[in-house]
Amino acid sequence: MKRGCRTGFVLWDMFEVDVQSTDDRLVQYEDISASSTARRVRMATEAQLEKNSMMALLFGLFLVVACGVVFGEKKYILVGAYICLVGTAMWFMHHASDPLSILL
Amino acid sequence: MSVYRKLNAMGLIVISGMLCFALLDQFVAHELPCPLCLLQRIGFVAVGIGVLLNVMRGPRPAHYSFSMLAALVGGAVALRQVSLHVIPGTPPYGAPFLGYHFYTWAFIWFVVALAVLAVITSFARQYVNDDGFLPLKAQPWLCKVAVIMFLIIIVINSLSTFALCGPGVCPDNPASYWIFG
Repeated sequence: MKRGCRTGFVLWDMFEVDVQSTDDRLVQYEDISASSTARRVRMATEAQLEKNSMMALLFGLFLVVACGVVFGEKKYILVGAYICLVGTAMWFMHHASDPLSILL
Repeated sequence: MSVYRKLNAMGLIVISGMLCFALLDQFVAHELPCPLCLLQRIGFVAVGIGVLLNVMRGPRPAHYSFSMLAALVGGAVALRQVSLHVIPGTPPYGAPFLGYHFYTWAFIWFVVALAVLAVITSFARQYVNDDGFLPLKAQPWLCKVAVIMFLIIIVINSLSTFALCGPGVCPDNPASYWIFG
């Protein structure tokens, strides 16, 4: 085999290896990119939930409903009360979602 | 004036009394409530909303069912806290009262409330002779006291919770008020 051909094969092999590793890197990069995007989305959601998890707000909403019962119109009072109750249940489910040790 | 309204007013006073006792424990004994403790208070407030509706607008099955659902939610919260501390070696939260911790008492009272409400709901006569909405001025003194007491208790709880947690998440084991740094 001539020196040039051998060099060509070596170069081709190197090129193939390079292509292979580039593909791997691309896949890895896409994985990292996807996971970092997912992480960013998760962190943003958690931050939003942290912002929205104001316990005093629940008391405040029930206070508004109670004032509505005493002084306001009957319309939508019960609906408002149910919204507050569902909010309380959701708060509970979000913040107490870790499994209980006694059940494991 | 239906006797059932007065019965509901007495129930509202009992709920306000329990919340008042929790507040006294917070301010006098300086035992700051955890997030689940606050959620149980919200559960009692929610039970009280249904009872308040009965006092102000007359007894209705929808009002009772709201209170029962609220007792169910509150009971679930209390049961979770009991389950967290029932494991041997797990330290309890707060000082016991008459042998039981507050979250155990809360669970007992939610179950009692559920049972009492289920029994009272079955009396059909209260839905027949109903006066409808009665403004606070037209209510008898027992109902007035119950309603005003309940409203004041919710206001104090809202303010104390904001002072404790601020606009963020309440700490698991609060040591001081957020408002005082």
